[in-house]
Amino acid sequence: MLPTRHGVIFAFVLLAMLLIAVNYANALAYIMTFLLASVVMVSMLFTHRNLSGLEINIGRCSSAFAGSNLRFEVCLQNQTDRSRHDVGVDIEGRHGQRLNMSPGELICVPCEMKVTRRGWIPLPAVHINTRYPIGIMFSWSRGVGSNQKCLVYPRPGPLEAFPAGEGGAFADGKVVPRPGHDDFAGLKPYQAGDALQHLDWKSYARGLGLHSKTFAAGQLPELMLDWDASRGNDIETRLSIMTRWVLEADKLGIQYGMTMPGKHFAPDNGDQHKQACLRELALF
Amino acid sequence: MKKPALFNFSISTGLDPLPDQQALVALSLGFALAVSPHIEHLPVWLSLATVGFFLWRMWIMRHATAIPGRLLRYGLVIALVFLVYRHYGTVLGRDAGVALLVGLSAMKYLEIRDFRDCMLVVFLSYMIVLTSFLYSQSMLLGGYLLVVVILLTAVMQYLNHSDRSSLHKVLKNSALLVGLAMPLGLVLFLLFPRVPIGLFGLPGDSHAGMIGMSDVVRPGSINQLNENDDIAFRADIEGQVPSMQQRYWRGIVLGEYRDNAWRKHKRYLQTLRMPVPEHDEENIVNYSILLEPSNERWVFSLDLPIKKPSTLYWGRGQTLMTTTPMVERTRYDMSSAPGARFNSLSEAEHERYTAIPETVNASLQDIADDLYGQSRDTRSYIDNVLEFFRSEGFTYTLQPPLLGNDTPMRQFLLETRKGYCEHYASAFTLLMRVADVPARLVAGYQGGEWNPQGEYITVRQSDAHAWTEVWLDELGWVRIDPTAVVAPERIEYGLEALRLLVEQGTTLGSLNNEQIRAAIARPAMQMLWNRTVWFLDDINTSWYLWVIGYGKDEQESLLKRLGLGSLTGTGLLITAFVTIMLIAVVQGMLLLRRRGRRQEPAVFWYKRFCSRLEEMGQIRGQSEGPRDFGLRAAQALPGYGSQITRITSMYVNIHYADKKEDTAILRFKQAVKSFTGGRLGRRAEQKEGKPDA
Repeated sequence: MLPTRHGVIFAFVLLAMLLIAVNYANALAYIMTFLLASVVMVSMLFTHRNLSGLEINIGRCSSAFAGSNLRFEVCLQNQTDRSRHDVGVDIEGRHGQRLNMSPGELICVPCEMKVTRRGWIPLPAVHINTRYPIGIMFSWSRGVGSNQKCLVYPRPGPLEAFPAGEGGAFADGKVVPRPGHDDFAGLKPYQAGDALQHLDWKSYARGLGLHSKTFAAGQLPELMLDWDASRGNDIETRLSIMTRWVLEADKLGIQYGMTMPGKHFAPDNGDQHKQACLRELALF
Repeated sequence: MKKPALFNFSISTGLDPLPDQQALVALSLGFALAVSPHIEHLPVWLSLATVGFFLWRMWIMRHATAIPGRLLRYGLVIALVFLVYRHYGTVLGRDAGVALLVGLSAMKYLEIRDFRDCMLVVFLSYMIVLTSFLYSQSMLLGGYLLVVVILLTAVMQYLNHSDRSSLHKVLKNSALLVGLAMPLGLVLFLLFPRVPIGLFGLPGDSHAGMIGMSDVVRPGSINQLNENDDIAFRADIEGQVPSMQQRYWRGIVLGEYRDNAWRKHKRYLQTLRMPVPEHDEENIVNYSILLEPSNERWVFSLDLPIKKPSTLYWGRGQTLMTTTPMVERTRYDMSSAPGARFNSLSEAEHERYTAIPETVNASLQDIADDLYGQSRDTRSYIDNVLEFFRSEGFTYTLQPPLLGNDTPMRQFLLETRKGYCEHYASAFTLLMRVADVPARLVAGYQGGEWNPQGEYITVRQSDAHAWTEVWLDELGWVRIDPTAVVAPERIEYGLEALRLLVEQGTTLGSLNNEQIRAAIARPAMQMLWNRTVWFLDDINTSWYLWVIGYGKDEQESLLKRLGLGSLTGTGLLITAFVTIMLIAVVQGMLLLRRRGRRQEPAVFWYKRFCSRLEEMGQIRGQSEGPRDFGLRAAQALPGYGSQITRITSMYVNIHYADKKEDTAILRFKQAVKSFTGGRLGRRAEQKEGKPDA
């Protein structure tokens, strides 16, 4: 705990008060000086108490692509039945807003951090601090969370033509148009991993439960994203192209597979498949 | 769960923004409260300017206009310093310093731009409050101190808080803060080493305009005695309280009559050791005098003082005085012995106390001859003179006619025959000197009101009195009060009773004691009123004796009583420091005491569920939410999948969606129980303790 800038000024004010009290041997001036000095001392107890028993956790971080903002949560849990006032959350020396917490309250603060590099990125150290109650003293916690890591996917490259697939479906190198409703083949109950684009919202709205639309086989050809097909000067550029392909293919809702040196993903679609592919690309 | 808006991490500019209007209004009130006691002694233009700045700031806040520009602000500062210099002739000292402090603070207040300025104004307000104690240290201001410290501390909290929900809570917290600070402050106040007054020298203006006793008595020059009821001093007497007739408070001995006025002799202060007057040990009265500041050097003592505190000096004729004017309420512990007497009068003293200007001597010679002619010795001469006062139509009045400048005492003795103590004492002393009897005038107080509530005597300026001392070879200096002959009521019942009697048209000296008592008896309501006044005065006296009067001597005697008499300076500071640290540690322990962490039942049962899963090999990660963990565990333990999913979703519903109905919790508890079976439950119970719900 250290005095704030105002604390230092206040110390000089107290010294001036003491000199006046001594010079005039003025009892009330003595009393006021000593009372204020004691208020500062007692306020230190309150400053300390405002942080003690507060639990900081760095929550999940969402997936992010290099070059964009990594979002994560800092969660503060007030473990006691005292309220907390003006707890500041600082990330790597940058100040955020100040929080007030009621007893037992859990507050998660969404945070953003710009990431430039793919792979495992360590989360920055988070400090909490407070100047409660009178802004004279400043107390802070040790840094928390520097051992946590978040996965950052490669930066998606510019949209390029898909590699030519089997059967020449993508032979002309163009992105196929979004499949129309003509290809609709029926509904099946939703299973985890089904593409969101294929959810039948109408039946869901009617209260019939979650169903996925299925499309007639053969209407949508399978796409193979091949490492060797990505043209680029260096690995990062090629990873960027691959990342864009995965995202695009997922958006279109087609079945796609991926071939990386030493690793092969069979054609599939859905969120889990996409994340497995992106993870492979991030850690390549 | 509350989700604040997305964090936008801006790089701190180091400049905190201006607090909101509510905080500024609170600050304004605090500032106004701090300045208010000064309004009465600040120059009018400065008071008006301060109010003007205040309204100006209100205008700025109200209409969100800009604060005055730099040029204007600097101009105002220069104008302020110039005007203060013009008004006081200096910019130093208490009055000018306070004026500058208030003026500059008001300007700072006017130009508040950011958080830092706000805090500075709070600090300046504290300073302004402190300086108001240089003008008065009454109990009222003591209460004001407490209130203003709590309020200004609340303002500081308000400035630092982002939560505006409850003003009441901020005030309560501030009062708690100040309340907890009080014991620490008390220790510091009692133990902080005191030094004698005036570290840098007191400014000359610090105690102007106080009324004390004059050291020149000029009978006949004033025809209206000042009815000043201000308290001169209070006397706290150990043991037997002297009766009204014994309450002669000796002040100044005036031995020189020159230009129709009594004055004190030159080289009045006696630096040599004075002989102790002869006295009876049994008659000694120990008492303390709480003297109001008078800006004079006279200290009053019960006739006749034999022991003085070391800070006082003897004046001529066994009087007490200080070397510097008394500028604060001071307490003196003294001893007196009524009836004590000196047994030697040197040749030089004899000459000094019989000296009389030739013209005065000539003007009074025939009167003295008349009175002396019938007597055989000095004592019968004294009796003759007193009898003359008693029987020749002399009256006591507080509004005597003015006397001429040529021979005022002859005029008094032969023509007007109306006067108060000064006239009688003066005329008597002169008549003694004309007959070559050493005599002197003593100025002081006579009487005083007994305060049964506080058990002390209050002596007021209106109790001022003058009497005579005559040297008799066999008895030494003998007090003779000619006023007592003319108006015995004055001596026996005090001036207040005398006034009452005069108001009722009584002829002084015509009533016997019982008649007087009946005449001056106060109605019951008056007695009740008196009792209230005594009570308040007693509290006030204790305040000055024990709080304001707490100085070097009081500290020493307190330390002695605590067995710390040997401590001085640094030792005291260390003791104070250790003591307040101990108090702070105790306070800290009380404040930080954990009140048995309350656990929600849902959390308790969820923890049991987790420990069961832990046994099954699924450990919940530190930052893994229940939903993620449930999903993972359900996939890893397909056989329990549905159960795990169900328990997890129930928990999430109860804990996070805040659906804490008892039935939901009960169902959750049963689900967990059926999952864990009885076996694990007991283990978890031992580990976690029972929830209180």
